Amino acid sequence: MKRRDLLLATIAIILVWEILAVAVNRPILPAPAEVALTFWRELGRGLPLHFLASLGRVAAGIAVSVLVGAPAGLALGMSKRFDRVFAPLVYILYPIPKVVFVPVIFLVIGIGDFAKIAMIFIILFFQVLVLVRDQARAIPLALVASVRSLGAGRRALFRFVYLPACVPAILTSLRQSVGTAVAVLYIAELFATKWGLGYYIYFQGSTLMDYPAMYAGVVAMSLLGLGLYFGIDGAERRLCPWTR
Amino acid sequence: MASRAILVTTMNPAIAVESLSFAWPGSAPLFGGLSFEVARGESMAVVGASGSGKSSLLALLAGLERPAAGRILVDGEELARPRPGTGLVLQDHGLLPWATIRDNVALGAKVRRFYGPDGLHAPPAPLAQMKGKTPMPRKSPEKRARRAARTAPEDDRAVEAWLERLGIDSIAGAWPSRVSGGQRQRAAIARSLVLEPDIILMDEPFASLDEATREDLRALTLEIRAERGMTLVFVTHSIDEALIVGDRILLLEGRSAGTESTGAADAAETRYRLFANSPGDMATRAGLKAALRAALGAAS
Repeated sequence: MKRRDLLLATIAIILVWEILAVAVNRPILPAPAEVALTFWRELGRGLPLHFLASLGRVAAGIAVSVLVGAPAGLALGMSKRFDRVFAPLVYILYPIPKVVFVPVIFLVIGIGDFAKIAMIFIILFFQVLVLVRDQARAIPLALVASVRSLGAGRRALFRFVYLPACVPAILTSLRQSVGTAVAVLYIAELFATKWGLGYYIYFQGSTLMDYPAMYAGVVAMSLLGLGLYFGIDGAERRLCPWTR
Repeated sequence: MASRAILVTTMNPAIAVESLSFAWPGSAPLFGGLSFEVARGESMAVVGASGSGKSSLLALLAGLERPAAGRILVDGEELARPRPGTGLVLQDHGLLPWATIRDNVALGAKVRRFYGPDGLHAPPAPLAQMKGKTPMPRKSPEKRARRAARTAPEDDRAVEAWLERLGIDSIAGAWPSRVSGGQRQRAAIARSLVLEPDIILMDEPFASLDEATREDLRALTLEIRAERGMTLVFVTHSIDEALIVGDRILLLEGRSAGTESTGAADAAETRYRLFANSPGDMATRAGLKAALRAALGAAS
């Protein structure tokens, strides 16, 4: 996406926000300029630490889901036998909205950081697993045959064919689900923590009634999601230049 | 008629196929006891109707599939898996979309280094002169070992030499999706040649190319084959191409072509025929063309 288009979209959002703020004319919806000033002020008051806490959790969730989901997807895509055994399980679990597992995770794992990362993991894991499996299955047999004819066994096929073929699928799955992951992170950070943007937004809005600070937290969370999105785009440009 | 069914037996064939049968899962068996030999340095074209098993035969010769019955000997050893001295070029080039043309050409060398110099598929052939005009002699064990231990810079030099020879050095940094079909097929051929094969298997390699590119590539392939004394098995659906390429032509006839086989010998007799060819002799080619057309017409 072009930078100019992004800038225009940002200006459009700020304009609509400004119009709504003037129309509503209540503290619950401060104007963008006021929120911007508060955001600047909050940067010196701990907002960056909340941001880093949330970033750490979501990054850990992404890392674990890729480290577990990608090899699992590759194993299913490379082995018909594996796929026959596990495909029905994936078929049943994949369409279930993973948010419904939040209470189960709290009950089983507790409400600490590990549970928060586990929730992000569950959301991303199935997406990565299914897209990587489908990508591995879709590799043309002729391509695999030609590389096998060069002496490639299973390990070399994994290294030279299946792994690079699945990198775009991994990044696509992350791009598709990172928004949901950040949304679930917000819910997860409402419990048993004093660090994280979810906690910060709730605390500023519901306890202190400091709405400009609450919106500063919303902006920070939007920047977190946007940053992850741009990060995935950057990784795709770097790791998958042939797709451009 | 110039053509005749023959059985060629050589003293030391590059490829010996003995009573071969094969079946894909859920499909009818193929070949029913196919036996033939390909002499060292010979070029054999394989033609046949759709579904007669041309591509399956090539997959078997490449060691990608195992026979249901019978066996395939390459260099006197029973083929159990792909062998590094056999190059395979497919119609759908088989290039990795995520690797540049140069990296694709170097892929065989990278795979070999991946397993290490003493690895599973260390190739036996010694590093040969890239532009040698004489057929290569059999390799000694010492040379095989030296070849297996070829270093990365030596591989790089071989890659660059083949890129240049195939005329694709100017697009070496491009992605396969950004170059023409002919250039992709040149890269696929170069990739096979980097490993210094003594046998090249080609499955309709030029079928999807325009006529001019097809002729260019075919001529280049035959020139390189002659220079290096390689054995060639060339699958094609075109009788004309088979007549240009093949010293002999193996005609595979589908099961529907002949009478229902009653035994291995009968099946072998009715399901394939070998024709001697003389690519430079137009009179022989004309006669053989008529015979092959008649046989393929009867088979379809």
